[in-house]
Amino acid sequence: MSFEQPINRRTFLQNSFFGLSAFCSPTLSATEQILNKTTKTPPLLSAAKDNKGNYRICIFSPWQSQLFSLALPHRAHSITPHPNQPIAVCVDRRPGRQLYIFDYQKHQLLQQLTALPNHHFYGHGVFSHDGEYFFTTEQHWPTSRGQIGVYQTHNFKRVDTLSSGGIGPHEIRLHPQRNQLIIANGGIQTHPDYDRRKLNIDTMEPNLSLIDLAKGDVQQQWTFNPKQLSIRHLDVGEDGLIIVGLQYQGDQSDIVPLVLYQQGNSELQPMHTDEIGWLQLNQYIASVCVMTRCNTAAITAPRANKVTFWDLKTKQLRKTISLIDAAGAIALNDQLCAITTGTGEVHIFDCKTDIKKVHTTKYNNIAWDNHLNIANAVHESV
Amino acid sequence: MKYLHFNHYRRIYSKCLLISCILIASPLRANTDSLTKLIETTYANLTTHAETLHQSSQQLCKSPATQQPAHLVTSQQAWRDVMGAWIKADIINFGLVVDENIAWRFQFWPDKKNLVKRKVEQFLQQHSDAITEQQVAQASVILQGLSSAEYLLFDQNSPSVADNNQRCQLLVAITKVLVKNSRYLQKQWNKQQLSIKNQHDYLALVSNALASYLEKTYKKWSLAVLKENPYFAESWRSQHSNENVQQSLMAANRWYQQLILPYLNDTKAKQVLAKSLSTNFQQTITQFKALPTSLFKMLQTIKQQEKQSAVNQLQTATQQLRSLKKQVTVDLPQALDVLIGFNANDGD
Repeated sequence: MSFEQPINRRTFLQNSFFGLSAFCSPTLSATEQILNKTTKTPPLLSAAKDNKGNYRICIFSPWQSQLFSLALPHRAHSITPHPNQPIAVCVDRRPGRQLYIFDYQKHQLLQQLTALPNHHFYGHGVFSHDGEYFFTTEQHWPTSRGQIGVYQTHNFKRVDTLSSGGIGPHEIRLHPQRNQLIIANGGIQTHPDYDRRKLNIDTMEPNLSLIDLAKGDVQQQWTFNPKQLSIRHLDVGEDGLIIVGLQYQGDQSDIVPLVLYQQGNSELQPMHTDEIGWLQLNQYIASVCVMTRCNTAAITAPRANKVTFWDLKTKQLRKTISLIDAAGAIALNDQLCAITTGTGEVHIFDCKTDIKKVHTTKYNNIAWDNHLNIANAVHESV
Repeated sequence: MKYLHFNHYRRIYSKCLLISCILIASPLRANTDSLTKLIETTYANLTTHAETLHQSSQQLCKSPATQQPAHLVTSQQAWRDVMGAWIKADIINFGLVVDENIAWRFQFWPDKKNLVKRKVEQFLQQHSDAITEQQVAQASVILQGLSSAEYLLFDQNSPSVADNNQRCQLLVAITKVLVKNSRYLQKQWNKQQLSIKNQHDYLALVSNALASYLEKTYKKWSLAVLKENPYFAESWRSQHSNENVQQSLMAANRWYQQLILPYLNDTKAKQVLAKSLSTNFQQTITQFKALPTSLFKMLQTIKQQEKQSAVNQLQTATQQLRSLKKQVTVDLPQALDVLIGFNANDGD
């Protein structure tokens, strides 16, 4: 493992956290003025592949081409920052078996963990509200059981295993108001002997589960028909509204809803758009980013080369924008979100009123992976 | 002194002129111009053929019964021509056609559940003879394009469009919508300027377009061939599937030769790849031209008589297409140092 430092760390942090004055043009538009006031953005965190085919953890600026990277032996999937320490956990892509814990301020790998025997990870994880525990989705493959591995974060020792409530748990989030995990159980059975092959398409039963962390068991569970809609990715708003992104495993010509919502005790229900609104997503959602304060969910569909923006109150599709290989999505603040692409771009959208692109940074020779996260601002000082 | 002063400015002027000429004549400028020209020609061709189909559909519906068989044949040929023009235009998989989801309005594919038939018959049940283009334009996209027009013009198991006024009026309305959409693409395709700031942007755009197009071509072909199911062929009703692939390959080859090849001559390795790609394109086109015209009939023959010769022919053509696809989606982007669909092809 080695860190590459293509730029000076102090310069990077200064540029990242102290506004845009260094690289804004002298005459600023209204939007740029808003950005200038509001963009003390911490660095972004994403897994990536470079043009030589090497996989990396990247710590980078959304505003200009500046990054640190850490070489990885395999393709990773998502990175989750700790809520109150400058560390983050990167999880191997399914069916990988490694977790990488690193310090994103010092740019150092702190620890590498291997899954339990006969277990592999699914690529996502989340910290508890107080940061004392880290939870990750995994499979015990002899039984195909979906599990949540629980790690104590002061030493990253594994302390518990919970049932995920289904097969193929993928993305996991913490409920903002309750001591609960929200888990997208994709329903798809795989086995490392068959690499990434899907073994149960005809009988799959995906669900969205809430796990009570005090009791350690499934408290609520929702399903949605048709069952070939794999419940895969999700995000949750400050008010508890859950938005779910689906991946369809059925017939290519079926026109199916791919974005659902769940609120309170209601059932899982589709967001609202017309036939072409669903067709255009090409049966596959990658990342979901809920921005409660500007009433928007940004959702990427890389197979369709699209990013879509949805109204959280009306549940209507607000806008679709074409972006080749649109991948990760994360809120930078109450108003701005960043969308990465497999062709190396980081686009920033203003979602407050009319959705519009306000900035693009191009990283040459980097393909961003499907998920994006942001370091915690609280630790960022030079 | 005055003379020298004038000469000094003349020299500066000459140098500026030279720099401008170099910029104007730069490979990037020349190739973005080629790209623009290719897009304009392609959409113009689509519009011309769509207009012809619409006119021939109108004539078919107006003509007396005795002349209808001849007009039906003319309309069927006009449909084949628009289909060919659309297949060629489908390589432009960026810009307006993607931003406004227009491709779905030209063709609904794949249709493994025969949704086209269901939507057309449902629409006919719900409407009278006086069918308008507005009704079609507001209906499901499945009803709006070439797939529905193919059903009306070629389907053997439903009433002929030639002697059913309602079906004929629907055909006229569908083809009118096709004309409108084609004209819209032709006139408005560049209403949002393409984001090409440098050579890398240009190569990323044209290479991604070519790679996605060949992926799609392969997918369309292999869906029927690998499952040996004639009804999964792209244009099985008109038996135009093999012709579609040939048109795709020719469009892809033209795209490659005109827009990408000029960038494959600065190293020996690139020159070798360029030569290999040109040969592979030619061989694949030849291979598909040598196949019997109807993929549908070939697949039916295989199903009924298990003819090994037909199986071998199809396998060889499929393998050839797969090898071309690999070169375009893996080797070419590597040589040009551009990235092609990372999550789009292998996400999680």
